Amino acid sequence: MRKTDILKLNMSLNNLTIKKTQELLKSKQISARDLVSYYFGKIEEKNKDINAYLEVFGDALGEAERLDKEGFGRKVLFGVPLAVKDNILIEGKTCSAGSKMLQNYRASYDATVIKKLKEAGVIFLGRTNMDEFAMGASTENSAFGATKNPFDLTRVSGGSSGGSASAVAMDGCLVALGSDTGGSIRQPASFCGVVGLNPTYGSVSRFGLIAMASSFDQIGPMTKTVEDAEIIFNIIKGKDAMDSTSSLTPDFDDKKFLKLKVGVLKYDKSGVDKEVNESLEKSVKILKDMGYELTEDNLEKAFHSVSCYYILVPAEVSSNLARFDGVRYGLFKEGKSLTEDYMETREAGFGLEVRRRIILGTYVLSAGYYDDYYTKAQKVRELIRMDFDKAFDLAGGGVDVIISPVSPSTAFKIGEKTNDPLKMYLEDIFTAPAKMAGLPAISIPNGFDSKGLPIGLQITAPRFGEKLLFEIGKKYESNL
Amino acid sequence: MEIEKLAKLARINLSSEEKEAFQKEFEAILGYISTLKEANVDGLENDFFKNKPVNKMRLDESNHEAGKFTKESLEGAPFAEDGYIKVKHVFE
Repeated sequence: MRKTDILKLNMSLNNLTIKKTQELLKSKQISARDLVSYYFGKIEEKNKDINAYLEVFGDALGEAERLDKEGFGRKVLFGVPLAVKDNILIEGKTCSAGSKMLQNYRASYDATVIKKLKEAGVIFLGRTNMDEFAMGASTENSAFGATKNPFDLTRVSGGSSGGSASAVAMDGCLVALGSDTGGSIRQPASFCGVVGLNPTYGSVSRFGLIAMASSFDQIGPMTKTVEDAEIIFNIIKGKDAMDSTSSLTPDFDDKKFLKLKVGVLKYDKSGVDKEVNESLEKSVKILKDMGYELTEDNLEKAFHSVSCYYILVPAEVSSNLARFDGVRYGLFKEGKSLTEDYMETREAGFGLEVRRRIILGTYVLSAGYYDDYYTKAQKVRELIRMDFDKAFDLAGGGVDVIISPVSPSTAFKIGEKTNDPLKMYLEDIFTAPAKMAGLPAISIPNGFDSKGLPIGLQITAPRFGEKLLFEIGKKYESNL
Repeated sequence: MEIEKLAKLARINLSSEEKEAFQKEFEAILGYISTLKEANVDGLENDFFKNKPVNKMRLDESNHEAGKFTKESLEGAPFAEDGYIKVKHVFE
Protein backbone atom coordinates (compact mmCIF):
# COMPACT_ATOMS: atom_id res chain seq x y z
CA MET A 1 0.00 0.00 0.00
CA ARG A 2 1.23 3.54 -0.64
CA LYS A 3 2.26 5.57 2.39
CA THR A 4 -0.58 8.08 1.95
CA ASP A 5 -3.03 5.21 1.77
CA ILE A 6 -1.67 3.78 5.01
CA LEU A 7 -1.91 7.16 6.71
CA LYS A 8 -5.51 7.59 5.51
CA LEU A 9 -6.18 4.10 6.75
CA ASN A 10 -4.65 4.74 10.16
CA MET A 11 -6.87 7.74 10.59
CA SER A 12 -10.04 5.80 9.95
CA LEU A 13 -8.96 2.68 11.80
CA ASN A 14 -8.92 4.00 15.34
CA ASN A 15 -12.68 4.18 15.65
CA LEU A 16 -13.47 0.73 14.45
CA THR A 17 -16.33 -1.46 15.52
CA ILE A 18 -17.04 -5.01 14.38
CA LYS A 19 -19.68 -3.80 11.93
CA LYS A 20 -17.34 -1.16 10.47
CA THR A 21 -14.55 -3.69 9.94
CA GLN A 22 -16.96 -6.09 8.26
CA GLU A 23 -17.98 -3.29 5.85
CA LEU A 24 -14.37 -2.33 5.11
CA LEU A 25 -13.33 -5.96 4.60
CA LYS A 26 -16.34 -6.92 2.51
CA SER A 27 -15.87 -3.94 0.20
CA LYS A 28 -12.14 -4.75 0.08
CA GLN A 29 -11.14 -1.26 1.20
CA ILE A 30 -8.77 -3.08 3.50
CA SER A 31 -7.64 -6.68 3.76
CA ALA A 32 -7.60 -8.85 6.88
CA ARG A 33 -3.81 -8.61 6.68
CA ASP A 34 -3.96 -4.79 6.70
CA LEU A 35 -6.10 -4.92 9.80
CA VAL A 36 -3.74 -7.23 11.67
CA SER A 37 -0.77 -5.08 10.60
CA TYR A 38 -2.50 -2.01 11.97
CA TYR A 39 -2.97 -3.58 15.41
CA PHE A 40 0.52 -5.07 15.40
CA GLY A 41 1.80 -1.54 14.79
CA LYS A 42 -0.12 -0.27 17.83
CA ILE A 43 1.13 -3.16 19.95
CA GLU A 44 4.72 -2.50 18.93
CA GLU A 45 4.28 1.16 19.82
CA LYS A 46 2.55 0.74 23.17
CA ASN A 47 3.02 -2.73 24.66
CA LYS A 48 6.50 -2.15 26.06
CA ASP A 49 5.09 0.53 28.36
CA ILE A 50 1.74 -1.06 29.13
CA ASN A 51 2.54 -4.82 29.15
CA ALA A 52 -0.98 -5.75 28.06
CA TYR A 53 0.22 -8.67 25.91
CA LEU A 54 2.40 -11.49 27.23
CA GLU A 55 2.79 -12.88 23.73
CA VAL A 56 1.86 -11.73 20.28
CA PHE A 57 1.08 -14.65 17.96
CA GLY A 58 3.55 -14.91 15.10
CA ASP A 59 1.05 -16.74 12.90
CA ALA A 60 -1.63 -14.02 12.99
CA LEU A 61 -0.47 -12.38 9.75
CA GLY A 62 -0.35 -15.78 8.03
CA GLU A 63 -3.84 -16.54 9.30
CA ALA A 64 -5.05 -13.19 7.96
CA GLU A 65 -3.54 -13.90 4.54
CA ARG A 66 -5.19 -17.31 4.50
CA LEU A 67 -8.55 -15.70 5.28
CA ASP A 68 -8.01 -13.07 2.58
CA LYS A 69 -7.43 -15.86 0.03
CA GLU A 70 -10.56 -17.68 1.17
CA GLY A 71 -12.61 -14.52 0.78
CA PHE A 72 -15.31 -12.96 2.91
CA GLY A 73 -17.87 -15.73 2.56
CA ARG A 74 -20.31 -16.34 5.39
CA LYS A 75 -18.05 -15.87 8.38
CA VAL A 76 -19.82 -13.43 10.70
CA LEU A 77 -16.62 -12.24 12.38
CA PHE A 78 -14.40 -12.41 9.31
CA GLY A 79 -10.96 -11.00 10.08
CA VAL A 80 -11.90 -9.58 13.49
CA PRO A 81 -8.64 -9.17 15.49
CA LEU A 82 -9.14 -10.49 19.01
CA ALA A 83 -6.91 -10.72 22.10
CA VAL A 84 -7.31 -13.71 24.42
CA LYS A 85 -6.79 -13.70 28.19
CA ASP A 86 -3.94 -16.01 29.19
CA ASN A 87 -6.27 -18.52 30.86
CA ILE A 88 -8.23 -19.57 27.77
CA LEU A 89 -6.74 -22.50 25.85
CA ILE A 90 -5.80 -22.21 22.18
CA GLU A 91 -4.46 -25.49 20.81
CA GLY A 92 -0.72 -25.43 20.27
CA LYS A 93 -0.23 -22.09 22.02
CA THR A 94 1.29 -21.42 25.41
CA CYS A 95 -1.30 -20.78 28.11
CA SER A 96 0.15 -19.80 31.47
CA ALA A 97 -2.68 -18.23 33.54
CA GLY A 98 -0.16 -15.50 34.39
CA SER A 99 1.81 -18.05 36.42
CA LYS A 100 5.28 -19.57 36.55
CA MET A 101 3.50 -22.86 37.17
CA LEU A 102 2.35 -22.97 33.54
CA GLN A 103 4.97 -20.74 31.98
CA ASN A 104 5.83 -23.33 29.33
CA TYR A 105 2.53 -25.18 29.16
CA ARG A 106 1.21 -25.69 25.65
CA ALA A 107 -2.51 -26.23 25.27
CA SER A 108 -3.49 -29.56 23.75
CA TYR A 109 -6.98 -28.46 22.75
CA ASP A 110 -9.11 -25.41 21.93
CA ALA A 111 -11.53 -23.98 24.47
CA THR A 112 -15.11 -24.14 23.18
CA VAL A 113 -15.25 -20.34 22.89
CA ILE A 114 -12.06 -20.41 20.81
CA LYS A 115 -13.51 -23.08 18.52
CA LYS A 116 -16.64 -20.99 17.99
CA LEU A 117 -14.67 -17.80 17.34
CA LYS A 118 -12.33 -19.60 14.92
CA GLU A 119 -15.31 -20.84 12.93
CA ALA A 120 -16.64 -17.30 12.81
CA GLY A 121 -13.40 -16.07 11.21
CA VAL A 122 -11.71 -14.33 14.13
CA ILE A 123 -7.93 -13.80 14.12
CA PHE A 124 -6.23 -14.28 17.50
CA LEU A 125 -3.58 -11.61 17.97
CA GLY A 126 -2.04 -12.83 21.19
CA ARG A 127 -2.52 -13.66 24.86
CA THR A 128 -3.04 -10.96 27.44
CA ASN A 129 -1.65 -10.52 30.93
CA MET A 130 -3.65 -11.32 34.04
CA ASP A 131 -3.41 -11.72 37.80
CA GLU A 132 -2.00 -15.18 38.43
CA PHE A 133 -4.75 -17.82 38.12
CA ALA A 134 -7.21 -14.91 37.96
CA MET A 135 -6.66 -14.01 41.60
CA GLY A 136 -6.52 -10.30 42.04
CA ALA A 137 -8.05 -6.96 41.16
CA SER A 138 -5.08 -5.15 39.65
CA THR A 139 -3.01 -7.53 37.45
CA GLU A 140 -0.15 -6.85 39.88
CA ASN A 141 -0.22 -10.53 40.84
CA SER A 142 0.95 -11.65 37.41
CA ALA A 143 4.23 -13.58 37.50
CA PHE A 144 5.22 -11.56 34.42
CA GLY A 145 4.88 -7.98 35.62
CA ALA A 146 1.88 -5.72 36.11
CA THR A 147 -0.14 -4.24 33.27
CA LYS A 148 -0.22 -0.44 33.37
CA ASN A 149 -3.33 1.61 32.79
CA PRO A 150 -3.22 3.22 29.31
CA PHE A 151 -4.69 6.42 30.81
CA ASP A 152 -1.93 6.73 33.43
CA LEU A 153 1.08 4.43 33.41
CA THR A 154 1.62 4.85 37.17
CA ARG A 155 -1.73 3.23 37.83
CA VAL A 156 -3.14 -0.26 37.60
CA SER A 157 -5.27 -1.54 34.77
CA GLY A 158 -7.51 -3.39 37.21
CA GLY A 159 -7.78 -7.17 37.31
CA SER A 160 -7.71 -9.95 36.84
CA SER A 161 -8.39 -9.28 33.11
CA GLY A 162 -6.18 -6.18 33.14
CA GLY A 163 -4.27 -7.21 30.03
CA SER A 164 -7.41 -7.63 27.94
CA ALA A 165 -8.90 -4.35 29.19
CA SER A 166 -5.69 -2.44 28.41
CA ALA A 167 -5.29 -4.13 25.04
CA VAL A 168 -8.70 -2.81 23.97
CA ALA A 169 -8.15 0.61 25.54
CA MET A 170 -4.74 1.10 23.91
CA ASP A 171 -6.21 0.09 20.55
CA GLY A 172 -4.03 -3.02 20.48
CA CYS A 173 -6.97 -5.15 19.28
CA LEU A 174 -10.56 -4.62 18.25
CA VAL A 175 -12.08 -6.88 20.91
CA ALA A 176 -10.80 -9.15 23.67
CA LEU A 177 -11.88 -12.03 25.85
CA GLY A 178 -11.63 -11.87 29.62
CA SER A 179 -12.93 -14.00 32.47
CA ASP A 180 -14.95 -12.96 35.50
CA THR A 181 -15.18 -14.74 38.84
CA GLY A 182 -15.81 -11.85 41.25
CA GLY A 183 -15.50 -8.83 38.96
CA SER A 184 -12.46 -9.64 36.85
CA ILE A 185 -14.00 -8.42 33.59
CA ARG A 186 -16.06 -5.53 34.89
CA GLN A 187 -13.57 -3.81 37.19
CA PRO A 188 -10.67 -3.63 34.69
CA ALA A 189 -13.19 -2.55 32.03
CA SER A 190 -14.24 0.36 34.25
CA PHE A 191 -10.62 1.28 35.09
CA CYS A 192 -9.68 1.31 31.39
CA GLY A 193 -12.78 2.92 29.93
CA VAL A 194 -14.03 -0.06 27.92
CA VAL A 195 -17.13 -2.26 27.92
CA GLY A 196 -16.94 -5.53 29.87
CA LEU A 197 -19.70 -8.12 30.05
CA ASN A 198 -19.96 -10.76 32.75
CA PRO A 199 -22.51 -13.23 31.32
CA THR A 200 -25.13 -15.25 33.19
CA TYR A 201 -23.46 -18.22 34.89
CA GLY A 202 -23.74 -21.15 32.50
CA SER A 203 -24.44 -19.13 29.36
CA VAL A 204 -20.85 -19.47 28.08
CA SER A 205 -19.00 -22.78 28.20
CA ARG A 206 -16.09 -23.01 30.64
CA PHE A 207 -14.50 -25.87 28.69
CA GLY A 208 -10.93 -24.76 28.04
CA LEU A 209 -10.94 -22.00 30.65
CA ILE A 210 -8.32 -22.70 33.31
CA ALA A 211 -10.56 -23.17 36.34
CA MET A 212 -10.41 -20.87 39.34
CA ALA A 213 -13.79 -21.20 41.10
CA SER A 214 -16.07 -23.48 39.14
CA SER A 215 -19.39 -22.15 40.43
CA PHE A 216 -18.42 -18.55 39.60
CA ASP A 217 -16.14 -18.47 36.52
CA GLN A 218 -17.43 -17.15 33.20
CA ILE A 219 -15.72 -16.01 30.00
CA GLY A 220 -16.95 -12.71 28.56
CA PRO A 221 -16.19 -10.05 25.93
CA MET A 222 -14.29 -6.80 26.50
CA THR A 223 -14.92 -4.30 23.74
CA LYS A 224 -15.13 -0.62 22.80
CA THR A 225 -18.91 -0.60 22.32
CA VAL A 226 -21.90 -2.38 23.83
CA GLU A 227 -22.95 -3.60 20.39
CA ASP A 228 -19.58 -5.32 19.92
CA ALA A 229 -19.97 -7.04 23.31
CA GLU A 230 -23.41 -8.19 22.18
CA ILE A 231 -22.06 -9.57 18.90
CA ILE A 232 -19.25 -11.52 20.58
CA PHE A 233 -21.55 -12.80 23.34
CA ASN A 234 -24.02 -14.14 20.79
CA ILE A 235 -21.23 -16.12 19.11
CA ILE A 236 -19.63 -17.57 22.26
CA LYS A 237 -22.78 -18.39 24.23
CA GLY A 238 -24.53 -21.73 24.16
CA LYS A 239 -24.99 -25.09 25.81
CA ASP A 240 -21.92 -27.28 25.52
CA ALA A 241 -21.73 -31.05 26.04
CA MET A 242 -18.21 -30.54 27.38
CA ASP A 243 -19.45 -28.26 30.22
CA SER A 244 -22.26 -29.79 32.22
CA THR A 245 -22.90 -26.48 33.99
CA SER A 246 -23.71 -24.72 30.71
CA SER A 247 -27.30 -24.03 29.74
CA LEU A 248 -29.39 -22.99 26.79
CA THR A 249 -29.99 -19.25 26.83
CA PRO A 250 -33.77 -18.86 26.71
CA ASP A 251 -35.29 -16.18 24.48
CA PHE A 252 -35.87 -12.98 26.36
CA ASP A 253 -39.25 -11.28 26.08
CA ASP A 254 -38.63 -8.15 23.95
CA LYS A 255 -41.99 -6.59 24.85
CA LYS A 256 -40.49 -5.67 28.17
CA PHE A 257 -38.30 -3.02 26.55
CA LEU A 258 -41.13 -0.53 26.31
CA LYS A 259 -41.21 0.75 29.88
CA LEU A 260 -38.20 -0.44 31.87
CA LYS A 261 -37.79 0.04 35.61
CA VAL A 262 -34.29 0.70 36.86
CA GLY A 263 -33.34 0.10 40.48
CA VAL A 264 -30.52 2.23 41.93
CA LEU A 265 -28.48 0.32 44.47
CA LYS A 266 -28.55 1.83 47.95
CA TYR A 267 -25.06 1.71 49.50
CA ASP A 268 -22.84 3.39 52.07
CA LYS A 269 -21.49 6.38 50.13
CA SER A 270 -18.79 7.11 52.70
CA GLY A 271 -16.81 4.09 51.56
CA VAL A 272 -16.74 5.22 47.94
CA ASP A 273 -14.85 7.98 46.06
CA LYS A 274 -16.83 11.23 45.86
CA GLU A 275 -16.50 11.38 42.07
CA VAL A 276 -17.71 7.77 41.68
CA ASN A 277 -20.80 8.67 43.73
CA GLU A 278 -21.35 11.77 41.60
CA SER A 279 -20.98 9.70 38.45
CA LEU A 280 -23.79 7.39 39.56
CA GLU A 281 -26.01 10.37 40.44
CA LYS A 282 -25.38 11.76 36.96
CA SER A 283 -26.37 8.40 35.47
CA VAL A 284 -29.63 8.47 37.41
CA LYS A 285 -30.45 11.83 35.79
CA ILE A 286 -29.50 10.62 32.32
CA LEU A 287 -31.62 7.48 32.66
CA LYS A 288 -34.60 9.50 33.94
CA ASP A 289 -34.27 11.82 30.93
CA MET A 290 -34.17 8.74 28.69
CA GLY A 291 -37.62 7.84 29.99
CA TYR A 292 -36.81 5.05 32.44
CA GLU A 293 -38.51 4.79 35.81
CA LEU A 294 -35.99 4.90 38.67
CA THR A 295 -36.41 3.58 42.21
CA GLU A 296 -34.02 2.88 45.05
CA ASP A 297 -33.08 -0.71 45.75
CA ASN A 298 -31.95 -2.00 49.07
CA LEU A 299 -30.26 -5.38 48.61
CA GLU A 300 -29.51 -6.06 52.26
CA LYS A 301 -28.05 -9.50 51.96
CA ALA A 302 -25.86 -8.54 49.01
CA PHE A 303 -23.52 -6.78 51.41
CA HIS A 304 -22.41 -10.13 52.75
CA SER A 305 -21.13 -10.92 49.25
CA VAL A 306 -17.45 -10.19 49.86
CA SER A 307 -17.33 -12.28 53.06
CA CYS A 308 -19.20 -15.06 51.34
CA TYR A 309 -16.99 -14.80 48.27
CA TYR A 310 -13.76 -15.06 50.22
CA ILE A 311 -14.92 -18.29 51.80
CA LEU A 312 -16.44 -20.03 48.78
CA VAL A 313 -13.89 -18.99 46.17
CA PRO A 314 -10.74 -19.96 48.10
CA ALA A 315 -12.49 -23.26 48.93
CA GLU A 316 -13.08 -23.97 45.23
CA VAL A 317 -9.60 -22.68 44.38
CA SER A 318 -7.93 -25.03 46.87
CA SER A 319 -9.63 -27.89 45.08
CA ASN A 320 -9.10 -26.71 41.49
CA LEU A 321 -5.42 -25.93 41.94
CA ALA A 322 -4.61 -29.29 43.53
CA ARG A 323 -3.93 -30.60 40.03
CA PHE A 324 -0.77 -28.49 39.74
CA ASP A 325 1.73 -30.86 41.26
CA GLY A 326 4.46 -31.14 38.63
CA VAL A 327 3.43 -34.69 37.70
CA ARG A 328 1.57 -34.41 34.41
CA TYR A 329 2.34 -30.90 33.14
CA GLY A 330 3.63 -27.53 34.21
CA LEU A 331 6.57 -26.65 36.40
CA PHE A 332 8.43 -29.43 38.21
CA LYS A 333 10.81 -28.78 41.09
CA GLU A 334 12.38 -31.75 42.78
CA GLY A 335 12.29 -32.54 46.50
CA LYS A 336 13.57 -35.51 48.50
CA SER A 337 10.33 -37.49 48.30
CA LEU A 338 7.12 -37.46 46.29
CA THR A 339 5.41 -35.26 48.88
CA GLU A 340 8.36 -32.88 48.84
CA ASP A 341 8.23 -32.82 45.03
CA TYR A 342 4.70 -31.43 45.40
CA MET A 343 5.66 -28.92 48.06
CA GLU A 344 8.72 -27.60 46.23
CA THR A 345 6.89 -27.41 42.91
CA ARG A 346 3.92 -25.57 44.35
CA GLU A 347 6.11 -23.14 46.29
CA ALA A 348 8.13 -22.32 43.19
CA GLY A 349 5.18 -22.26 40.80
CA PHE A 350 2.58 -20.31 42.78
CA GLY A 351 2.90 -16.66 43.78
CA LEU A 352 1.95 -15.34 47.20
CA GLU A 353 -1.72 -14.51 46.53
CA VAL A 354 -2.35 -17.95 45.03
CA ARG A 355 -0.78 -19.69 48.01
CA ARG A 356 -2.67 -17.40 50.36
CA ARG A 357 -6.02 -18.35 48.83
CA ILE A 358 -5.25 -22.06 48.67
CA ILE A 359 -4.43 -22.05 52.37
CA LEU A 360 -7.49 -19.99 53.22
CA GLY A 361 -9.59 -22.47 51.24
CA THR A 362 -7.96 -25.43 52.95
CA TYR A 363 -8.82 -23.84 56.29
CA VAL A 364 -12.50 -23.20 55.59
CA LEU A 365 -12.94 -26.75 54.31
CA SER A 366 -11.06 -28.41 57.15
CA ALA A 367 -12.67 -30.54 59.85
CA GLY A 368 -14.12 -28.45 62.62
CA TYR A 369 -14.47 -25.34 60.49
CA TYR A 370 -16.43 -26.63 57.47
CA ASP A 371 -19.89 -25.91 58.91
CA ASP A 372 -19.04 -22.55 60.41
CA TYR A 373 -17.51 -21.22 57.22
CA TYR A 374 -18.26 -23.20 54.08
CA THR A 375 -21.79 -24.43 54.81
CA LYS A 376 -22.74 -21.06 56.29
CA ALA A 377 -21.40 -19.25 53.22
CA GLN A 378 -23.39 -21.55 50.91
CA LYS A 379 -26.54 -20.69 52.83
CA VAL A 380 -25.80 -16.97 52.73
CA ARG A 381 -25.21 -17.31 48.99
CA GLU A 382 -28.72 -18.69 48.71
CA LEU A 383 -30.06 -15.72 50.71
CA ILE A 384 -28.32 -13.32 48.31
CA ARG A 385 -29.88 -15.15 45.35
CA MET A 386 -33.31 -14.82 46.98
CA ASP A 387 -32.68 -11.12 47.60
CA PHE A 388 -32.05 -10.57 43.89
CA ASP A 389 -35.09 -12.69 42.94
CA LYS A 390 -37.21 -10.40 45.07
CA ALA A 391 -35.59 -7.26 43.61
CA PHE A 392 -36.33 -8.45 40.07
CA ASP A 393 -39.88 -9.62 40.80
CA LEU A 394 -41.81 -7.11 38.66
CA ALA A 395 -45.18 -8.37 39.86
CA GLY A 396 -44.11 -7.63 43.41
CA GLY A 397 -43.00 -4.07 42.67
CA GLY A 398 -39.52 -5.02 41.58
CA VAL A 399 -37.30 -3.70 38.80
CA ASP A 400 -35.97 -4.83 35.43
CA VAL A 401 -32.31 -3.97 36.10
CA ILE A 402 -30.16 -2.56 38.91
CA ILE A 403 -27.47 0.09 38.45
CA SER A 404 -24.51 0.72 40.74
CA PRO A 405 -20.87 1.76 40.64
CA VAL A 406 -18.41 -0.90 39.44
CA SER A 407 -15.65 -0.13 41.91
CA PRO A 408 -15.32 2.11 44.99
CA SER A 409 -12.62 4.11 43.19
CA THR A 410 -11.03 4.76 39.84
CA ALA A 411 -7.68 3.15 38.95
CA PHE A 412 -5.41 3.22 42.01
CA LYS A 413 -1.64 3.61 41.97
CA ILE A 414 0.55 0.58 41.37
CA GLY A 415 1.60 -0.82 44.77
CA GLU A 416 -1.12 1.05 46.66
CA LYS A 417 -3.02 -2.05 47.76
CA THR A 418 -0.43 -4.82 47.48
CA ASN A 419 0.46 -4.83 51.18
CA ASP A 420 -3.08 -5.34 52.36
CA PRO A 421 -4.90 -8.33 50.88
CA LEU A 422 -8.16 -7.42 52.61
CA LYS A 423 -8.08 -3.93 51.03
CA MET A 424 -7.71 -5.57 47.62
CA TYR A 425 -10.59 -8.00 48.36
CA LEU A 426 -12.88 -5.05 49.13
CA GLU A 427 -12.49 -3.93 45.50
CA ASP A 428 -15.12 -6.59 44.79
CA ILE A 429 -17.83 -4.98 46.86
CA PHE A 430 -20.02 -3.99 43.90
CA THR A 431 -19.09 -6.78 41.50
CA ALA A 432 -19.28 -9.85 43.77
CA PRO A 433 -23.08 -9.78 44.44
CA ALA A 434 -24.01 -10.61 40.83
CA LYS A 435 -21.64 -13.60 40.93
CA MET A 436 -23.29 -14.90 44.08
CA ALA A 437 -26.55 -15.16 42.21
CA GLY A 438 -25.14 -16.17 38.80
CA LEU A 439 -26.46 -12.97 37.20
CA PRO A 440 -25.28 -11.10 34.10
CA ALA A 441 -23.77 -7.66 34.66
CA ILE A 442 -22.08 -5.20 32.35
CA SER A 443 -19.66 -2.35 32.97
CA ILE A 444 -20.01 0.51 30.52
CA PRO A 445 -17.81 3.62 30.26
CA ASN A 446 -19.39 6.47 32.23
CA GLY A 447 -17.09 9.43 31.82
CA PHE A 448 -13.90 10.39 33.62
CA ASP A 449 -12.89 11.76 37.01
CA SER A 450 -10.94 14.98 37.57
CA LYS A 451 -7.66 13.07 37.11
CA GLY A 452 -8.79 11.95 33.67
CA LEU A 453 -9.36 8.36 34.80
CA PRO A 454 -12.30 6.34 33.46
CA ILE A 455 -15.32 5.59 35.64
CA GLY A 456 -17.68 2.70 34.87
CA LEU A 457 -21.40 2.20 35.35
CA GLN A 458 -22.57 -1.30 36.27
CA ILE A 459 -25.94 -2.63 35.15
CA THR A 460 -27.12 -5.98 36.54
CA ALA A 461 -30.01 -7.99 35.08
CA PRO A 462 -31.87 -11.19 35.99
CA ARG A 463 -30.47 -14.53 34.80
CA PHE A 464 -30.36 -14.68 30.96
CA GLY A 465 -31.27 -10.97 30.84
CA GLU A 466 -28.28 -9.99 28.66
CA LYS A 467 -30.67 -8.45 26.11
CA LEU A 468 -31.76 -5.95 28.76
CA LEU A 469 -28.15 -5.00 29.37
CA PHE A 470 -27.51 -4.51 25.65
CA GLU A 471 -30.75 -2.54 25.17
CA ILE A 472 -30.10 -0.08 27.98
CA GLY A 473 -26.34 -0.07 27.42
CA LYS A 474 -26.58 0.89 23.74
CA LYS A 475 -29.10 3.65 24.42
CA TYR A 476 -27.06 4.99 27.37
CA GLU A 477 -23.88 5.01 25.26
CA SER A 478 -25.49 7.28 22.70
CA ASN A 479 -26.91 9.54 25.39
CA LEU A 480 -23.69 10.06 27.30
CA MET B 1 -5.24 -21.41 62.90
CA GLU B 2 -2.08 -23.39 62.31
CA ILE B 3 -0.62 -22.12 59.08
CA GLU B 4 2.06 -24.84 59.19
CA LYS B 5 -0.52 -27.62 59.38
CA LEU B 6 -2.64 -26.12 56.61
CA ALA B 7 0.39 -25.68 54.37
CA LYS B 8 1.17 -29.38 54.75
CA LEU B 9 -2.43 -30.32 53.92
CA ALA B 10 -2.29 -28.12 50.83
CA ARG B 11 1.12 -29.51 49.88
CA ILE B 12 2.65 -26.04 49.77
CA ASN B 13 5.96 -24.83 51.21
CA LEU B 14 6.06 -21.46 52.91
CA SER B 15 9.10 -19.65 54.22
CA SER B 16 9.03 -18.61 57.87
CA GLU B 17 8.52 -14.96 56.86
CA GLU B 18 5.61 -15.98 54.66
CA LYS B 19 4.09 -18.04 57.51
CA GLU B 20 4.31 -15.04 59.83
CA ALA B 21 2.82 -12.69 57.25
CA PHE B 22 -0.02 -15.09 56.50
CA GLN B 23 -0.84 -15.48 60.19
CA LYS B 24 -1.36 -11.72 60.53
CA GLU B 25 -3.23 -11.35 57.24
CA PHE B 26 -5.55 -14.23 58.04
CA GLU B 27 -6.49 -12.66 61.35
CA ALA B 28 -7.68 -9.60 59.45
CA ILE B 29 -9.38 -11.59 56.69
CA LEU B 30 -11.13 -14.01 59.04
CA GLY B 31 -12.14 -11.06 61.20
CA TYR B 32 -13.90 -9.52 58.21
CA ILE B 33 -15.42 -12.82 57.11
CA SER B 34 -16.85 -13.47 60.56
CA THR B 35 -19.48 -10.78 59.88
CA LEU B 36 -21.19 -13.66 58.12
CA LYS B 37 -22.13 -14.99 61.58
CA GLU B 38 -24.71 -12.19 61.76
CA ALA B 39 -26.56 -13.41 58.67
CA ASN B 40 -29.79 -15.12 59.66
CA VAL B 41 -30.10 -18.36 57.70
CA ASP B 42 -32.83 -19.91 59.86
CA GLY B 43 -35.48 -19.80 57.16
CA LEU B 44 -33.31 -21.94 54.90
CA GLU B 45 -33.02 -25.14 56.90
CA ASN B 46 -35.52 -27.19 54.93
CA ASP B 47 -35.57 -25.49 51.53
CA PHE B 48 -31.88 -25.17 51.04
CA PHE B 49 -31.09 -27.92 48.52
CA LYS B 50 -34.51 -28.08 46.87
CA ASN B 51 -33.72 -26.44 43.55
CA LYS B 52 -30.06 -27.18 43.39
CA PRO B 53 -28.64 -28.38 40.06
CA VAL B 54 -28.17 -32.13 39.82
CA ASN B 55 -25.02 -33.77 38.50
CA LYS B 56 -25.41 -34.67 34.85
CA MET B 57 -23.48 -37.83 34.13
CA ARG B 58 -22.46 -39.37 30.83
CA LEU B 59 -21.80 -43.02 30.09
CA ASP B 60 -18.42 -44.19 31.33
CA GLU B 61 -17.09 -45.00 27.90
CA SER B 62 -14.37 -43.61 25.64
CA ASN B 63 -15.19 -42.16 22.23
CA HIS B 64 -11.78 -42.75 20.67
CA GLU B 65 -9.29 -45.61 20.22
CA ALA B 66 -7.09 -46.39 23.20
CA GLY B 67 -3.72 -44.64 23.02
CA LYS B 68 -4.79 -41.97 20.53
CA PHE B 69 -3.78 -39.04 22.72
CA THR B 70 -1.11 -40.71 24.85
CA LYS B 71 1.95 -39.20 23.19
CA GLU B 72 0.48 -35.71 23.19
CA SER B 73 -0.72 -35.99 26.78
CA LEU B 74 2.69 -37.09 28.00
CA GLU B 75 4.50 -34.20 26.34
CA GLY B 76 4.18 -32.03 29.41
CA ALA B 77 5.18 -34.66 31.95
CA PRO B 78 8.71 -34.26 33.37
CA PHE B 79 9.22 -38.04 33.51
CA ALA B 80 7.49 -40.53 31.28
CA GLU B 81 8.30 -44.12 30.30
CA ASP B 82 6.56 -46.66 28.05
CA GLY B 83 3.45 -44.51 27.83
CA TYR B 84 3.21 -43.99 31.59
CA ILE B 85 3.94 -41.03 33.80
CA LYS B 86 6.79 -41.74 36.23
CA VAL B 87 6.90 -40.49 39.83
CA LYS B 88 8.87 -41.31 42.99
CA HIS B 89 7.66 -44.02 45.36
CA VAL B 90 4.24 -43.22 46.74
CA PHE B 91 4.88 -45.26 49.89
CA GLU B 92 8.20 -45.07 51.64
